[in-house]
Amino acid sequence: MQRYILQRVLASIPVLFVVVVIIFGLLHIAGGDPAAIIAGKDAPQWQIEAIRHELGLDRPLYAQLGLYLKNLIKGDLGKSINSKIPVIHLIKQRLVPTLSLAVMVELLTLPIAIPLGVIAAWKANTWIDRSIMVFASLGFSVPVFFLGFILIWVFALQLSWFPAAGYVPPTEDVGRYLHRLVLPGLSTAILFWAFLTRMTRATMIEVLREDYIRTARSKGLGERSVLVRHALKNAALPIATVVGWGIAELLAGLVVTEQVFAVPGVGRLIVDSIVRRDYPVIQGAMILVSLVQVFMNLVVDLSYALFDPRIKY
Amino acid sequence: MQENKTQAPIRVAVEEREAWSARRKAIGKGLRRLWRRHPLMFVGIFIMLCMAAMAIFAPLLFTADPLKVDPPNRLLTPSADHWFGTDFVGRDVWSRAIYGARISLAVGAAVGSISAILAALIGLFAGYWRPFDNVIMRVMDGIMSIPDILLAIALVSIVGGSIQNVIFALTFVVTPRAVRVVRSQVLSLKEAVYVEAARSIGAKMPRIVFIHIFPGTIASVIVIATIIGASAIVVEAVLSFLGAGTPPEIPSWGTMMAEGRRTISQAMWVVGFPGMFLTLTVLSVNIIGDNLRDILDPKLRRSG
Repeated sequence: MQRYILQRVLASIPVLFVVVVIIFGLLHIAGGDPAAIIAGKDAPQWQIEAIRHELGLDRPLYAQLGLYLKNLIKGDLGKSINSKIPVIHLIKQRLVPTLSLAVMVELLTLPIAIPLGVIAAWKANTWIDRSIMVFASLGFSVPVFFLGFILIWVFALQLSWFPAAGYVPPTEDVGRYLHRLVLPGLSTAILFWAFLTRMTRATMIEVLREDYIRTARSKGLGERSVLVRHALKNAALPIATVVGWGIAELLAGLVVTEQVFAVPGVGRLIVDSIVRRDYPVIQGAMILVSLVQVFMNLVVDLSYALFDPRIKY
Repeated sequence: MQENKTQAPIRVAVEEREAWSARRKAIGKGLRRLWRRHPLMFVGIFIMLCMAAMAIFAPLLFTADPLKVDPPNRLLTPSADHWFGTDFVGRDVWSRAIYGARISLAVGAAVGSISAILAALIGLFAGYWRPFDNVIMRVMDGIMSIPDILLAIALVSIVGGSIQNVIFALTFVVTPRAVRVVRSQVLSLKEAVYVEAARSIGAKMPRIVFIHIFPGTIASVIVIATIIGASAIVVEAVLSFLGAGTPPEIPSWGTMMAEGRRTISQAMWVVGFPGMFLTLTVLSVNIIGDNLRDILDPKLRRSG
């Protein structure tokens, strides 16, 4: 068991390395000359050269990569070209809105998606199942930003129940903070709802075919008890996997939501930095989000090993 | 003798006709069974055909020049002259939307097919030759760990926004996922008895890979190509929406929605119609993909 955990952790190191190399390489090709951007338009050549030397840009590419990796391990992602603020600080500032949205999405998804998936599996191939699945397909197909517009139009512009966009920090006013997260949360939640419902249904259908379910039914247990205590319990692990996967995916998926609803999160930071060609910020934020993804995959894999006694390594 | 000579062609013709009608009956029977078991498939195909027809015949169907700016007639509500109304500079939304269909469908079809071909090649290679497997799959894992949309935006901002570049960027981003599917199929097919049999009678490597293993992966490659096509259509729209996709002067659904958002409080139709087309297109591809998966590859059903 411990060997498996160690193996799994070690196996994710080359993946992390590949991630950093790809992002570093891409942005290096794209970057043009950061020194020229920092020095400004009319800077003399010697000044640009001095900045290049200071940043280590005159060294060979592999040495630059090595330096970046060394700093990365220390938690230093470099400084923004525009504001000169360390990238890690910029990301920290934007973390709260993004994480709040992520939690809001999960809160709106889980209590609806899992029961619906269970019902669809229980009533598999009836009209109830079919209509739930049609809605899930629809939720799967509506692009997040289009759904965002529909929600803004209906609930903000027509009914005036919610503000159309913006963000209020929780330290300022908790009520308004939560109120403003509802629409952006909802627009992203539909996608996860569709995905989780389908996954729950698929897993539950498989579990419901097992012998112990027939045993439970034949000894006279009520359907609710069979479904919740016998079936759902055993379907919980694959479902939890999807939830874990969703959290990682969310951080990136929120790029679009944050743009539509003007939420100042990490996604918006990345998009803004791309517009301003602020490469250290893009690089740092992308690497960080990817690290979260690799880490979540690792956690999911390990939780399988920990919680499912049937899996032996 | 004389009789036989004249009757022979007739007999052939009769046989041919019978064979034909038998085949027609078989096709009809197959279609009826498909209709009974997968009625939604036909809905998906119907929507897809409508969208494709709109894209192909856009030069015949448009009612006004999609690029013509006409400020006095800005934000007109849908009417007989402008079926879908006009946008914030007076351009005809219907004409722009049907030209936008060309971009979305072209990107979806191109990314779906190119990445399927690439995935089949890389997947066969990685699945069959173990030494390469480790290296290739770590690189694929690496690419997959970088969030799709972010990687696509970064790539497009590097190579510049044109339709070819968007197709390239999206193919780069989505191919690893397809490679994974093909590879896992190859790994299991490699151990199949019939492949062992081929090997034992002395079949050479290329023959085993391309004649014996490759056909076994085709079903899942087709299914994954449709799923990828659907997500490519969405990501293309997202890129254009964020201003990092196709050039803004070409009408595409994402660009139209990005521009329409400024006037959403006065003119929902500018955002609504392209959004509806986008949703319907993605829905139809998803429906077709789901049903194809059930028909072609029951083993894949578990994954979603």
